[in-house]
Amino acid sequence: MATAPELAPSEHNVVARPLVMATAERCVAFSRGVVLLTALAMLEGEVLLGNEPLTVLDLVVGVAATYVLGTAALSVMGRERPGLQLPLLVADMLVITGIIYLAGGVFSEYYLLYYVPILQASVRLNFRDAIASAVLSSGLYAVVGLSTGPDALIPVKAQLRATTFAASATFMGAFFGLLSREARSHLQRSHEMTELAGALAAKNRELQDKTRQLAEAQESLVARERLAAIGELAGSVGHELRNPLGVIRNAAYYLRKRLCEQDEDVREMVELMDTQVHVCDRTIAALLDFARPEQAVVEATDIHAVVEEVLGAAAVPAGVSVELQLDPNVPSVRADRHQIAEVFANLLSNACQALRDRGSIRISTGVEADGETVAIEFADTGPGIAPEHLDRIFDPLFTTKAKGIGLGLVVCKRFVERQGGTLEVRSEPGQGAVFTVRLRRAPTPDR
Amino acid sequence: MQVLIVDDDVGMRLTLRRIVECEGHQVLVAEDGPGAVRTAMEEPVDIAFVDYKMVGMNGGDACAALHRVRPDAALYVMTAHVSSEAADAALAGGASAILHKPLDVDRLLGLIAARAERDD
Repeated sequence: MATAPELAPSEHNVVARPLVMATAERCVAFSRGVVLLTALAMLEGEVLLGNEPLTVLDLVVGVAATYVLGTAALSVMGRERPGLQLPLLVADMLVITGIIYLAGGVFSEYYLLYYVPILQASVRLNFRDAIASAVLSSGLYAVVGLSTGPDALIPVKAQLRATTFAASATFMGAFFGLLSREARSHLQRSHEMTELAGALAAKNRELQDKTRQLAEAQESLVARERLAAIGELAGSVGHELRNPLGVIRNAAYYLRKRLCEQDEDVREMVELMDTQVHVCDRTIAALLDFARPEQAVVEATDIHAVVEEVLGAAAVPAGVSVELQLDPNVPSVRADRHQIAEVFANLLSNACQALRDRGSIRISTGVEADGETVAIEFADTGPGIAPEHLDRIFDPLFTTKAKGIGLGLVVCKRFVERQGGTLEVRSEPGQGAVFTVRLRRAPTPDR
Repeated sequence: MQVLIVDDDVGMRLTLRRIVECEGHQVLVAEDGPGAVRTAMEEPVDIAFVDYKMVGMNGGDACAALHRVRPDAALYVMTAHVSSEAADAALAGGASAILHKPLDVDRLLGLIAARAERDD
């Protein structure tokens, strides 16, 4: 199945935007400092020194101090509040107008300083504010022009200069306003693209997760259906095999009656037949239990009686010892006696096989701390279960035995769970295995 | 004691017949339900073992029919695997118990012996 390519958000765009803004703010602080310092110098020159011009050193010191102060102010304030930007620009223009006035009126070259707030408005505010700044600065410059001249007469040259400035300022405001609007919208778009790419990547991951879940679900469904089909087939075959097996068992019975007393070898052979028929029957029983599970008849059951009954019927090898630790305080449990006996027989038989005819099995019972659950443990001193097998031990058709079809524990687990109980295993390699059946205690009349 | 074995499998009929005869009882055999009913009408039957899964009439219905013909006979259904509903129906029709295949022959002989003892 094809999967969508992994998309990662572009880190370049995410970092670029704050960097651009920080640089712009630094420039603004710097230029504002230049304007303010110039105004101060002019004022100082006018008031204290007469019309003495500024020295280069004055300017260098002023620029350096402004840069340092502006940067420091920015770092303290964080980002300038957007609402303050326009009033600040207007204040800048008023200050510049003052400078121009002090520096000799409309013929002063300081009118060039007006371009600074106009540029600021273009870059940091919007197109409309850029035009407004241009118009305002033109108006202020015109006011300076009006006040120029000893006899309040406006020279033609001054008019021309003011008009030229107005035209160039408006053009500049418009040009840079448009340019920065373009740049801003580009930035915005790239930011949106980044967000979109991020969202797409998240959706893509979600899709991949869903696809994987779907594939797993399908796999499990197919496995379940295949298992059901196998179970159905095995059940039918098992059922059909029981009849001929029954005939063989009957025939063996008859032969034993008629011939065994005369011949020891015949007796041995007939018993062998009987044992093998029994093995076949156990396998068929597991298949049938798996394919067509019978309804559990849950009733109050004396679990110790079942343990002893199973132990009595089991073929425990001579080298295997069975130790019983039955807690006399264990109450009756809710269980189907027949099915739970089958579970115990299966666990006992597994333990015997794990021990390979040598070792010990401990069967213990006890009431859990909640007072409602009875635990029955089958612990063996065998080689234990490999960790990689432990998770699969209750999977249908999983077996590590040379003989066996891998249904015994599956059926056991089903039986126990159908009676409201649990079947668990714990094991460490070399430390044996412990199977624990937990069943609920039967309700007592006085409870 | 007249023992009736009803099974459509010839091997099952033959082996059970030999085993039961060994114990000194009279054995009648039939291969299906209608055959069993015909036999029971002709001969007295004390105890019958009827296979459940047979063509035409199943063991439960055969037991019900035999019960009408020989109400005193003890009837047992033999089966490899049976649903609990079918088992209940067979028991309601007159069968005394369900015997699971492969048969526990000692138990079967024990049932015959118990019946013989009761009749004596």
